[in-house]
Amino acid sequence: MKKIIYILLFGLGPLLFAQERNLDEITKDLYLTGDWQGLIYLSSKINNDHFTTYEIEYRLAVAYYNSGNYFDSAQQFEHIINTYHIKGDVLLEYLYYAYLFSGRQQDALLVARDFPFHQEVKTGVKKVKFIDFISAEGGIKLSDNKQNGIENLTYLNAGFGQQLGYRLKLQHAFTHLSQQYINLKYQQNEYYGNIHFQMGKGLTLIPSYHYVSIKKDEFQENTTYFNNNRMNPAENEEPVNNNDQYNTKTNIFHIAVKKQWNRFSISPSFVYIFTQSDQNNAYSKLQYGVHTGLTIKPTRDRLWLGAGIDFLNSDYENKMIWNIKAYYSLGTKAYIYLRYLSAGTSDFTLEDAMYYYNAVSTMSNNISTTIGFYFTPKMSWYVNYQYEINADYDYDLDFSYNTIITGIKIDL
Amino acid sequence: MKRLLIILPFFLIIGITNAQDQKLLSAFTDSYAFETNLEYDKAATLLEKVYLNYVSNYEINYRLGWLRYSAGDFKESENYYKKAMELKPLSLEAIYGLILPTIGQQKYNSVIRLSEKALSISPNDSRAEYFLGLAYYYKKDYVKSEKFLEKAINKYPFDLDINLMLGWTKFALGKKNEAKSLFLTAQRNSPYNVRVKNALNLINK
Repeated sequence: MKKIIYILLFGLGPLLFAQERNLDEITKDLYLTGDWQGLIYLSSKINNDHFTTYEIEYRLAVAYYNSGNYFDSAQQFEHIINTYHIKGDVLLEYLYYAYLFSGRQQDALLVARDFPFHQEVKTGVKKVKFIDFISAEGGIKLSDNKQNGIENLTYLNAGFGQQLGYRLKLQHAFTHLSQQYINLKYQQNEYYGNIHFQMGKGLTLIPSYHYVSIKKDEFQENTTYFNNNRMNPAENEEPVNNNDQYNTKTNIFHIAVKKQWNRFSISPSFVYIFTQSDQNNAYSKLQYGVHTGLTIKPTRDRLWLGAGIDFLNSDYENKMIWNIKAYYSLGTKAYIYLRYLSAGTSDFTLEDAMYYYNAVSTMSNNISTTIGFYFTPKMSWYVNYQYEINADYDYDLDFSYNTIITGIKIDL
Repeated sequence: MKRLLIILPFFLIIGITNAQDQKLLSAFTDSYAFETNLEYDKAATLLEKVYLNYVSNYEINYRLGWLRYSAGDFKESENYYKKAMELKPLSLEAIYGLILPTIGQQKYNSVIRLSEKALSISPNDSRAEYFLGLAYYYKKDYVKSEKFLEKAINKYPFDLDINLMLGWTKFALGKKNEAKSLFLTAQRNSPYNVRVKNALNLINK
């Protein structure tokens, strides 16, 4: 019925909107009655030139906000601030929350920089949070090829975040994982740190550093099968001493720039991977790629789709890996995240070099599903399942992992 | 006959001036009627129709400054108030008028300059002290803000805005008890005021 009324109104458009004043009165009525959809519908049908007064534009921004359309609300508030050079308390607070609820936390913090004290108190935003959040996760990678000595992998991770000013966020994570893989028993310790530096609105610089230390114990147990089955028997000619131990250290330097335009983001990245063992074997690898994401408006911004492509260059191989991702918000309390990764290689990074895939075997494909739940706005729990197809070309083996990871994150 | 020729233009000029004065008065009268109905834009437009004939008239510039400010057009309001200030450089009402759209545009350095000018004309003026306190508060210079607001509150101890502003400044300086006392004074001034309620809720959190 409402739509019919609007259509009738537009039928009389030239008469009704001959004067801007009429539009002002109509939008004012819709605003006062809280008819947000009516206001948005009206604005979509009228030439933008009509929206020339501060009041009309403000009403539209509030209409977007109150109908949960935070992306468009943020854009409209930005437009008002830039057009009218007004940065009043109310505008800033709306813009802050519009950014926050559209997942642009660092843009929200940039807005909070202009908050007067009473607004800082009201919103609870702080310039410095020495510990911004803490997180912990653990999981197990279940092997389907234990008969050939590929055992389960256990994984533990703990981390914390920091906010040092309105532009700078840091994240630190410590990981331990261990596995027995055929004739290798290895323990891996990692440190990962990244910085999110907000250079300007929608523009983030993301340098990261990842350190991986691997302690490997090599032994001869269970190798009879492989000595008879290796594709290249010559590789076995040198007998392996019992319990040979050696260490490998990998340093990973990553840098990315992320640019966000309303619902769309793009992030080119560059990674340098350098690995050295205590037997003086060293190799390096370059990884460069681009990742994009788009929030889908017709799903009421619940669905986000992403895709990425990376190229790997080393002395030994030139490879391309790619992935597609989808995030779907199940209301305000839960979400589901899916990712498909096609790799066909190993020793590459994912997610701003947070994950370094350095298995002995080669990952072919990986499908990952995460379901997350917010107990409170500050405490979330998630469980992740991954199915991963691997190949070991040395031993001519195909196998898969079923991985279960669960974690918790608490914002302080 | 010669005398008549000399006197006639005088009468003509007086007649035209009277007609113009009448026109201006009529525009002012109508603008007040629109303002009563909160139709600031209409009220301003009415005066702007005759504005070109009175560009150098202080009152019309001052009034348009207020009406454009009330209509939310801070830039235009600023222009009219500036013109009024040019015409009457010692006018405190024009300075305080100009401070309003200047605050609206968050030009706090300009607010400080204008308030200092007001103080140079009228030393110890509490309005200028309040605006200085407000501008320094928004510039996050709470020590200076406190200094000027303390001066203002000594003259108007029961003023709602000064109590609230000084309360927030004290709160920002970590003087929570003093801040709460000021918010409670503000509450006694205006028990149902939303700003006061919010302030008390936040300080009691």
